[in-house]
Amino acid sequence: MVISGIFLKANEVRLVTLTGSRDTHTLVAPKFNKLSLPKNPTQDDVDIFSQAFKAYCADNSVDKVIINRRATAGQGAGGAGTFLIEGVLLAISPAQIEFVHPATVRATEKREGGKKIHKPKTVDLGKAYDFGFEGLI
Amino acid sequence: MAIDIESLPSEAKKALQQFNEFQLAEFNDSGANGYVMIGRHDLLRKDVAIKIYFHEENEVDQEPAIIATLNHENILKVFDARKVDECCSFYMMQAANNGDLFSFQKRYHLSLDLSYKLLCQLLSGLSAMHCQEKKLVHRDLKPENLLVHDDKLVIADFGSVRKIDDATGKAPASKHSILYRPPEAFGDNAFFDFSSDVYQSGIIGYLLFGGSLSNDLLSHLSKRELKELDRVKKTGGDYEISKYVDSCIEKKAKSGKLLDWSSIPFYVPKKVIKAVKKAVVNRDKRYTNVSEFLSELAKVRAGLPDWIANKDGYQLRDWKGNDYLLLESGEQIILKKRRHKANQFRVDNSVKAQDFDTAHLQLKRKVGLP
Repeated sequence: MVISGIFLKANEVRLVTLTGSRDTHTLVAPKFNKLSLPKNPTQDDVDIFSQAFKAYCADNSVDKVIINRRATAGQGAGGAGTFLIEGVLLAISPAQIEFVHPATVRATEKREGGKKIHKPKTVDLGKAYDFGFEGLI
Repeated sequence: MAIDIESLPSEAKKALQQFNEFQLAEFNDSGANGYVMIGRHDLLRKDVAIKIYFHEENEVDQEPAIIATLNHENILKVFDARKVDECCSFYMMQAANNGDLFSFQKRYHLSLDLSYKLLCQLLSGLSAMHCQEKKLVHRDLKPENLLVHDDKLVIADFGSVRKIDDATGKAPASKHSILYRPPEAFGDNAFFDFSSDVYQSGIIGYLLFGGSLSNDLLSHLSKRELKELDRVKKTGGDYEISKYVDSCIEKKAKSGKLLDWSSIPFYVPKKVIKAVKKAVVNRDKRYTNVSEFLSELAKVRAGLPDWIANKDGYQLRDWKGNDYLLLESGEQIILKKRRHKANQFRVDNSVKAQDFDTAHLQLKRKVGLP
C-alpha cells in the first residue's frame, strides 16, 4: 500500500508518502512535499490544485490519504484555509481519505516511535510523515 | 462549401461507406500518415472526426485501443474503430472545435492565464497516461498533436505511444519531430521515459508563453554550420544533408541552446519562466514526472497577472480592479488605464518609456506586479 500523509497548514498541504509496513517502509517521491492553494482562490486556482494533487496520486499510485482531523472549536481550531483545502481534497481525491486525530498520532509515537526512522527533520513534514505512518500496517 | 465525395481518396470513400450516419464537412490530408474527416454524426448528434491511417499489413494497430483505455477529460475520446482494408484502418473520435494547438496559437493571442491553464491541462492529461497502471509515454508531444476544444486542451495522436518497460523504466526513443526530441532520445543508447514527456511539455509551455521556435530546421544553424552544410551539399546526397542538420539540432538540444528564452514576452513573470525552464534542462536536473512540474506551476500561480497581447498593445486585465494597456504612441510607450470592464481607457502619465521592457518595469513598480 502507498499511503500519503497530509498535514494541512494555512493554505498549504504538506505531503509525505510512504510505502511498505511500519517495520520497514520507504519514502515515495520525497522531492514533492508541498502543494498550495492561493488565499481567496478562484475556480481556476482550485482546478490547478486539483490537477496537481490528482497527478501526484496517479504518478505514485497512492492508495490512501491520511489527513489530520481538524479541531472545529477551541484554541486550536483550524482556520478557513485548511477548511477549504480539506473540502477540496474530499471532493477530488482519487484515493480513499481517512482522518486521524492528533491524539492517535501521539499514542502511536509512544508505542512505535522507534520505527519512525525516515521521519523528516522539519516540523510540518514530520507531522505529515506521522499521519502517513498511521496508515501503514 | 460541400465536399465532392468522389474526389476523396478511395480509403476515405470506403470509410464513409461504413458510416452512413456521418455527414462530412471537412477533409484534411495534411497529416503525415493518413487523413482526417470532420463532420456531424446524426445519431450521436455531435461533431466527430474520423482519422484514417495506414499501417503494415495485418498489423494489430494499437492507437484506438490505447485511447479507449484512457479516460481523462484532457485525452481524446474514441467512439468507434474499424478496418478499411489490411493496411488501413480508421477510428472515430471527438472533434475539437478550435483545431490543433499550432493553428489555435496562430489564430488567437493567448492570454497568460489561458496559456498557463492549457499547460496544466496537458500535464494533467499526461498524468493519466503515466500512472502506474498504464505506464504509457506519448513520445510525440508537439502543438500539432494537441487539440483545443472550447479552450480545453486535449492530447491526441497516439501513434507513437509506447509502454515503459517495468525492468528498465524506459521505452525506445522516438525519431519523430527532432525539435521536440529530448537530449536522452539522441544517440546509440537513446531512450524515452516519463521525464522525456515532461521535456516535450516544457517546450510546449515555452511556446504557450510566447517563446519562438521555428519549424525551419536551417534557421537553428549557426553561420559556421551553414557554411559546413554548403560543403556537405556539394559532396553528399539528401541523407548526408539531413544527417548533418540533425546532428546540429542534437548539439543544440543537448547544450540547452535550442530555445531562445529572451523571445518570451516581457510580461511573463520570471517565476513562471523558471518553472518551465526546469522542464527542459538535461534529464538529471529535470522534473522526474508531471506531478512535480504541476506542483511547481501551482506554486507560481498565486497572483499571476492576466496579460494578453492584442492589436492595440499589451493589456493587463483586472489587476486590483483595474485594466492597464501598454501601447506605442509615436516614439513612446504609454500607459492607459480604466476600471475593470469600464468602456474607455484614459491615459495615465505615470508611465512613459522608449520600449516595452522599461514601461513594464515602471508599471511593475507602480502597481506591484510579480
